[in-house]
Amino acid sequence: MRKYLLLGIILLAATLRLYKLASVPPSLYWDEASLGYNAYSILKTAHDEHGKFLPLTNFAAFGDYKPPGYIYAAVPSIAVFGLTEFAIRFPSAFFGTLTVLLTYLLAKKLFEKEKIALLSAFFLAISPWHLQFSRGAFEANLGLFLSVLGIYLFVKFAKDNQYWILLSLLSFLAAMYTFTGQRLFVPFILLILFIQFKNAVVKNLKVVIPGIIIFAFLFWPLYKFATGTIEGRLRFNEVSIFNDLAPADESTRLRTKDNFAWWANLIHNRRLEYAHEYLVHYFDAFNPAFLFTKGDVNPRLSVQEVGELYLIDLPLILSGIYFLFAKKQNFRFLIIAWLLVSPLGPATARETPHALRMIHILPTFQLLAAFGFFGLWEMIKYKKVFAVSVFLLLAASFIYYLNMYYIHWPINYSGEWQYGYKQAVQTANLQKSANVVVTKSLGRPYIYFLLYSKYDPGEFWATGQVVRDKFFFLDVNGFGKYHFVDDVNQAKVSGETVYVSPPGSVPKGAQVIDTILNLDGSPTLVISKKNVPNPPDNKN
Amino acid sequence: MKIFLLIIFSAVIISVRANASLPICNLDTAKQAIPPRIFAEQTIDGRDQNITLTRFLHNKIGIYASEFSRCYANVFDPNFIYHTVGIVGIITWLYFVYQIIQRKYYFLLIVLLALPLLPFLKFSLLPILFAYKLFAIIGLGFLLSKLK
Repeated sequence: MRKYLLLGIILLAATLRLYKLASVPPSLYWDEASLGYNAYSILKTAHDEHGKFLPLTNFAAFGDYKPPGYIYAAVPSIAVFGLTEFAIRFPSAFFGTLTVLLTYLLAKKLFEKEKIALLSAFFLAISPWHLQFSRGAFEANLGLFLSVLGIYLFVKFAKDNQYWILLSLLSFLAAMYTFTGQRLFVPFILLILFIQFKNAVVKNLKVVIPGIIIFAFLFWPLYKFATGTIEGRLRFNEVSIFNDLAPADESTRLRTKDNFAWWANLIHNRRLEYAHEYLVHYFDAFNPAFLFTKGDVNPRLSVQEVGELYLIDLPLILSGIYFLFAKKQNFRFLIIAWLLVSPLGPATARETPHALRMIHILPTFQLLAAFGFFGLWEMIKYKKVFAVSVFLLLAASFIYYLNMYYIHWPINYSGEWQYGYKQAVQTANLQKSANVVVTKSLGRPYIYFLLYSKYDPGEFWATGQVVRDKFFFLDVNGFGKYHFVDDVNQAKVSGETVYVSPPGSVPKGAQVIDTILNLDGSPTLVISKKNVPNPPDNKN
Repeated sequence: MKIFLLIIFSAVIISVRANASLPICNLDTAKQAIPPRIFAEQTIDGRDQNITLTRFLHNKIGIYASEFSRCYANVFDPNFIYHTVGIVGIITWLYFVYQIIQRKYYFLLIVLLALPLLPFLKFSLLPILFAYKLFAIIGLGFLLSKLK
């Protein structure tokens, strides 16, 4: 019976992650398009979009130097399903479903109770946080699967067989090659696991030490890239709070106010100001509005009217934390430490709380909620009333979430997903023109023209005008007949030209062919056409 | 030694400048949020959806409950507690909450759970700030009493 329940939960997870995968979210946003086209380029040519052979530590992409994991994971998917939205998102949905199964297996190892394991898996299967990232091509979601796999295999090493440590370390390594945030999580979780299972580690040193050596050897190229190159440090420098001068200015202001007294230099020290700033960002991770009522403020990362977790999860999670300590559960250190270290890395960034960067905190909330539910079940007198109430509230929250996710969110926030580019590419390519001039106003249009035209990577290398700015970001000003400009009226072209411009910027004399609307009805792009005469010869 | 530590850390907790503030969130803002949300949500749903389902999903009670829970939860924002009692205080505050449940001090638990109603009913935040400092000091006392 319990096997059928597990099967039912996995099927539910798969259905929730695969249903309308290509159309909700309503469009590929630029990172998804980049992941997809790079995977396509690898499939066709074994080179990335910029012509680099089988990159190991990073894909240059937009100059954001993406980790390689998701791109390589998308290659077989694109080989089977073609270069489509579904194929690009499929690895995330697939590994998201497997994460639900892993949660069951992990919970079973930690709590040794089938019911708690089933409930943990069920909570993750319907979790808004996990669904949001399983339904888009997010490297973080694949990274989550790999780190949870690493944790599970580590527990198996401690409980079952010493050789699982090798696979565990390889999983963690793969996680770091998949998502940048994992590089600030894996060291901490490994430390926690070593502490939790120190007896097993010491007892099996003859396997652990070679495992660490292999790990270090395979990690070395990534370490060199991430710490030894400007490109590797780019993203961290861009988002880090430690590059913000405000705390230092505040320190100076306060010390000035106190006439630079010796005690003022001590208590208004800029290091303390930065530490305070860090703590504020750390505690943001547990903001109740973020977790339970509104979600992440970024409309791509949350539906905005539902938290990252359901409101009913709150009393269950708090109960779970209480019961972990009250019952002196064997793995309370692992679970609570995992919960507490997960925001350490994301707290170094300006934008907090951040659902994507903190995703590796899952599935601790689901484990706690399941444990809390059963703790309350044992304690409460009217068990059936309790269980029915919880599941009714959960069902109502879940149905509300599905309504918001599938009906309201795409309409309200299609613009956040660069909606309109696909239609623009299709319309522009239907016109037989000498040139296509495209606005950059929605951001990085070139990748959509590459993707939806299934443009040959070799031709792109031959004709692409790639520029690198002073911040090391890469931009493409054109390839083939496509030109990407800030202002379409300034494009220097001649002959039959199709323009893809924002509303209100249609070139003078151009005939409007189509206006592309966002799902909320607001115009986003206008396709127009005109014959641009050749410029006169200046022979004098 | 324990008394000394209690005095020192209590002084630290008390002297933390309670410059914590909460977003404006009360009875009035909850009521004001209802009409625009109901209109927007029912308009989008109303295109192809059964009216009963629309009313079940988007109704005044649900929206009011959502706004109330947001206001309520704000008072337990860790950043708000941190700004009120400091880094040491937040640890002892959490320990206080654990201990009052463990020791079944239900009256204190009810006081803690009732505190967020004050800003919702448009009362001053001051009682919460003082209460949190007091809870942190009591939690410190619990913690020190456990030390050998």
